[in-house]
Amino acid sequence: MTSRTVVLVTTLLAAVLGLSACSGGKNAVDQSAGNQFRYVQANKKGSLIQAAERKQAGPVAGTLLTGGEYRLSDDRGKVVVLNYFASWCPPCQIETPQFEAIYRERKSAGVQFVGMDVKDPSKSAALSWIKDKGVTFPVVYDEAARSAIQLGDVPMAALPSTVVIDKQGRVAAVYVGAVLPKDLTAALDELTEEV
Amino acid sequence: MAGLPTGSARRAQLSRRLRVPRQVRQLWRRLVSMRTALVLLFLLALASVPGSLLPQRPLNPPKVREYLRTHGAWGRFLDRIGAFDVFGSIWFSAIYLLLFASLIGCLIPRITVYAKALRARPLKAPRNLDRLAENAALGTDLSPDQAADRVSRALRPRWRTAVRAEESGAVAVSAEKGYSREAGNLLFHVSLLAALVLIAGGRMLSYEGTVVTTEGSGFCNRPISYDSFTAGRWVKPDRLADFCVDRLDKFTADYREDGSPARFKADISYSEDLAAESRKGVITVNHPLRLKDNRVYLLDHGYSPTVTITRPGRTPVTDTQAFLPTDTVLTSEGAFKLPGRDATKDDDLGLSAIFAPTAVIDGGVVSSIAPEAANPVLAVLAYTGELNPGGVPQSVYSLDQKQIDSGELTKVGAENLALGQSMTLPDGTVIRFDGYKEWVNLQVSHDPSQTALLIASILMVAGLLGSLAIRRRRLWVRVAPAGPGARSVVSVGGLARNDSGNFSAEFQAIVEELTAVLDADGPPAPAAPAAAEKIGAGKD
Repeated sequence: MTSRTVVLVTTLLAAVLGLSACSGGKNAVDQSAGNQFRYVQANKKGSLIQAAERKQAGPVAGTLLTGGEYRLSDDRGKVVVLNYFASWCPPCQIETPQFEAIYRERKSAGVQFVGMDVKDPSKSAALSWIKDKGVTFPVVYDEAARSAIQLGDVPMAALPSTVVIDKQGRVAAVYVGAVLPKDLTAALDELTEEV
Repeated sequence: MAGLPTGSARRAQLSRRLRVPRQVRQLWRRLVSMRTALVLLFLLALASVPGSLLPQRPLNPPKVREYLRTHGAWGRFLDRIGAFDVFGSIWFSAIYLLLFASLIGCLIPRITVYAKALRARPLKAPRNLDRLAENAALGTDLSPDQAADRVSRALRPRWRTAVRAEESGAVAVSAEKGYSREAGNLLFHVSLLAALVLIAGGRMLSYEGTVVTTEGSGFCNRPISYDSFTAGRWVKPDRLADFCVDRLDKFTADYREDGSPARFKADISYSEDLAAESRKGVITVNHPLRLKDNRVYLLDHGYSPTVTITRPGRTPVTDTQAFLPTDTVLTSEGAFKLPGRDATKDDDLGLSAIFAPTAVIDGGVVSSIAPEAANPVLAVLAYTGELNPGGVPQSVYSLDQKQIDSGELTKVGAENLALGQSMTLPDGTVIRFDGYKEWVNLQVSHDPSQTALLIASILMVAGLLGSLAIRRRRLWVRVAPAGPGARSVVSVGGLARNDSGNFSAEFQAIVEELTAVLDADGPPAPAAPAAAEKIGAGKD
């Protein structure tokens, strides 16, 4: 390589690097981007993990928003829907009243809904919110999301996320992002029929 | 290089045997050439330009949506060619993968060359030592074998030597030193290769999550806890380390008199796993908390004001929200959102607010003059209406400006509140400014390759320094038997393989040393001064 080519390449390289380094400014990282959600799908909405491939859910336990303890193991024998939400999260605000309706309808058929209130720094706002929405299923106040670790290897990437546990205490589905009532009821139909 | 022709001949033979088409071989040779590497490096820099000129989806998705909305077909075209995710686009990956292949393809043959050079015996003496740039001729009364033996022994502590008997009856000593230069070269190239592989592997195995945490709150190391989370391809997001930062106990910021920050400190409680007891820790800037190969960094901080909202006939709500600083004195903006009782009734309450830690009010406009909370004021604009039609995700730091502009949110009050003050809205709702907490932005990073990468970099520098500082020298001494009765003729030739400018003096010293060695304890001989023995030193 001749010295002239070297000089040419170096100059071009410097110019291009300069160009890419000194711009940016207004397009730089959006510091608030964190609170805008990006949904990643785990299970296809409404689908279930094959019974043979289901893994046992971990020992989820926590304090209820209204006081008292909740233990997932106490609900063994029921189909349990763990709904991870926060009172400030708009898709959750749509979803929770819909879940309440399904809960009332299927409580007697052995379907238990449990709200997992995470990333909600204000307990008071969360309490007022479930009261306003008339939520009657138990809600665990789990600000730091410890239950996500307790649950075990479950791919929950964003709020809201919904984990469905079968009667034997195994993870039967994980829905990341809001789930439509018709998708959830289809899955619940299938699970309540299982032994 | 001696090993090279045979090596490349063998490779050519091998590729012929493997029936690699000539074009492929040619293409490969072209790929691993220096010129290609430079061109690829240039292309890499060129391809990253749009990455900094255009908003990027992984970094700032709202900005990309805005750009697409305002730029029509041009924006859609850019989107199709991946200009909004340059570093994840096919063409960018193609460039760096080719560069990687080129570098590795170029490095591996170099490594074999250096490894061979490191083991090589000193070369055979050239026929005419007096043609070398540095040469000298001496005489000795010793026999060629004896002389060669002495020379070889004298040189051996620092030189690698080989003694060869030649057909003419002469005995030649070949000596070479500076092998650590090859070792340095080898070390540099191997470490460079290791670093390249580590960087690539490290990116695949590393993850990073950030979370805004207010005093009294905490988070666990799971994607659902993080405000943003990025992970390499081989990271299983559900198999992260099981630690929790249980609570941010206290954040302390110290400022100098001019308002510039002197120190930031976050006191936290953390547990290494669910079974472990909660422990206390301190994070300061550049002093992360280290937990199971994860580091928790303190990135940013701000204020989270607390308000109590009492709506008529409803339970009072106390809410604390993180506000985003808009300047260096922490004038911050944020929002409180209180969903109504009935989603269909437009009775949501939204507060768009400015928090000034040390406030001055100029013509009704609040701003801060210092970052400490000496005189905190919360300027509140209250709106009612529907905050989130359709439940679309939106920023938690502001109300939707479109909703305000379109009149779907109605302004029902505006007031500047000092600590403890409250305001009453027309419907009887009371908003009280209770106080404030501080929040920090914590970043959790996991990069398993970091330590190995540091070692590779240190070895790389060490190898480079070694290969630059060490002088490579070759020396030959041929002792030819002269006729009966005459002294043996000793010719010495030296070759500097690098830094030849300093070799003359060095060579003189060697010649003097050899002269002394050949004369010492020798059979009785007229002890001639060394200088007189030199014939034509330094000349052709």
